[in-house]
This record gives sequence, structure tokens and C-alpha cells, in this order.
Amino acid sequence: MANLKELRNKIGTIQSIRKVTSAMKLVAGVKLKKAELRVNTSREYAEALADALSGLRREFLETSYPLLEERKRINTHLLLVLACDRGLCGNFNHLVCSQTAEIVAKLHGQKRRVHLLCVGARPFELLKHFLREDDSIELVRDFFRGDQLLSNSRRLAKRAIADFESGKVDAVSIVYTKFYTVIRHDVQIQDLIPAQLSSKPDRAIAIFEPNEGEILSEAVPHSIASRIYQCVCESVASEQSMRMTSMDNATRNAEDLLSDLTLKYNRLRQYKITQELAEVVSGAESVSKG
Amino acid sequence: MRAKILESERKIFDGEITKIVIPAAEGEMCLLPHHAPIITIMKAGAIRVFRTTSERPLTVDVTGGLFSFRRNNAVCILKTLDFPE
Repeated sequence: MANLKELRNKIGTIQSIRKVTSAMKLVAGVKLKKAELRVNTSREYAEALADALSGLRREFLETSYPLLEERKRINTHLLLVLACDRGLCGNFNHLVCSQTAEIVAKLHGQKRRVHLLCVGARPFELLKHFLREDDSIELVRDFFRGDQLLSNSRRLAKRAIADFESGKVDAVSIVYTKFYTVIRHDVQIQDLIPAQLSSKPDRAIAIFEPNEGEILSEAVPHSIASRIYQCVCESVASEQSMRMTSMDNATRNAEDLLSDLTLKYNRLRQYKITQELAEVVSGAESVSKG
Repeated sequence: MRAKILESERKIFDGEITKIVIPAAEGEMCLLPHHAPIITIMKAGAIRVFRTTSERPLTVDVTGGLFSFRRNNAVCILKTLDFPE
């Protein structure tokens, strides 16, 4: 049977773990609130932009625009993978990575090379093993540092656009975790470049100022950046909600363990006292008899 | 008519208005209800939103963006300052 000291140490350890996990849960909860707000505003922004652009459909355009043009042969496909740098958030990173691995396999099937641009150290480590020799992988460092999500997303968009324009890559997609509610999110893929204008065109728009071409060259890069930012926000919110639920589970587990161990500890202590009493009594009896 | 002024990280204005003046690419433009549908680029300047005819307008300084007006809905999609060049 375990001795009292061992049990006491174990209880102490679990108590401090419980403190850490419940603190992490609270922190994740606060961050989730912030992230949810961000998701809502960024969604509204991206939707408004897409809506404004829905008047411009390729069929109606007189000018062609490179970021809308689908290339005939796609040699290299750039995948942006959004996950996070840290663990302790349930299977958030794993879900993203397994989905990405499937997509990579599909792209290999279409005889495309894959270039992965990972946001977050975890997918970078995990996805290395799914690539073929002519594929490449890269890590975007310090993306989440200093809460610069907007400007970092724009930098990412610039990079993707530059790679597309220079011909390094022929298509760009993004893999991210869409946030619905605290307990519901799923991993999705979205095509970024060539950019998709709305599927339901609106012919009502008659006036373009100064002209369609200039509006496109102004608005399309902007819409790509805002879509990346939206995906980043969704991904961050999902991460925080998953961290919150997994830390909640951990705290509850710790509480269960604690109550088990405390019961065991008390029982053992009581047993020892009873035993000592019995020894004293029987000792006294034998002395008085003698 | 309704107007929305949106920035990536926040919503600046959302509500009923009677008139809006925007810094369009080819000069200031004033839009009243039932204006024809239009999309235009905004340059740096000020957006003025008139909620009622008598009240002083709400002024929002912008660095640029996109403006769309359709079915009595005015949407100003602003660019934010920190675009790294």
C-alpha cells in the first residue's frame, strides 16, 4: 500500500496542475471573447468587400486582370496552413495537419508540386513527413507575436500575390479552421488566387469610377488580404475555444483524481490510527495481565 | 437609406442616414437616397455622414478604400493605415 507521504505529494502535484489548467482555461476564455468579436467584424468586412465586388464579373469585364486569371497548367500549388505555435489545445493542430495531408495527397494525384507555407510551428513539424522531394515547406515565423494579426495577414497576402505574379506558384489556397461555436469548428480549404468574384453576379451596377480595371487592381489584392485576415481570425478563435474546452476537461479530470486520492489518503490515515490504537490497547492489556 | 462604414478590425458606423459625402477618386461625391448603383475607389479624405438634415454631420477621416452603393445601401470599405509597403 502506498504510504502517506507519497499520497500527500501526489495530491500536492495535482492541486498545482489544477491551478494551472483552470488559469489557462480562464485566459483562453478571455482571448476567445476577443477573438469572437474579431471573427464577426472580419467576416462582415470580407463579405462587404465580396459583395461590392460582385458587380464586377469576369464576363462583363473588358479588361483582363492577372489575379483573376486561371492558368492552364498548374505546376506548383501554394497552400497556406493556419494552425498555432503552441500545444495544449486538444487536437486543433492535428485536425489541420491531417486535413492538409489529405489535400497534399490529392494535389500530388493531380501531378502538382506543393509549396506549404505554415503559420505556426506545429504544422511545420508535423507536415514535413508528408511531402515529396520536389515539394517545399516554409515556416512563417512570429506570426502570432505582438498581436499584429492584421498587418501580418497583409504581409502574407503580399507574399502570396508576389509569388503568383512572378510565376513561382500557379494557384494559392488556404487551409484553416472555421469557427462556428465554442464546440463546433471544422477545417476547410478556400481558394485565394485566382480570386473568385461572387457566384451570383449583380448586373444592376452601372457606374464604375474611375473604371473597372482600376477598381479591380485596387480591390482584388485588398480582398485577398482581408480574406486571409478573416481566416486567421477564425483559426485563432477556434484555437482558443479548443484550448478552453480541453483545459476545462483537464481541470475536471484533476478534480476527480483529487477527490479519489483524498479519499484514499484519509482512509489510509484512519487505518494507521486504528492500528496504532489496537497496538496500544493490546500492549496495555498484556502489561496489566502480567 | 442605410450606410455602413467598415474597417478590418472594427465597425465605425452602421445606421440610417439621409445623405453621405465621400472622397471619390475623381472628386468629392454626394449621394442621396435612390442614387444609381455605383462602385468607386475612395482616396484619402473625409467621409461625411448626415443622419438627419438638420444635424451636423459625422466626419470620418479615411486614407482610402472602396465605396459601393446599391439598393439604397451605402458601404464604405476602408483601408487601414498599417499596410506595410
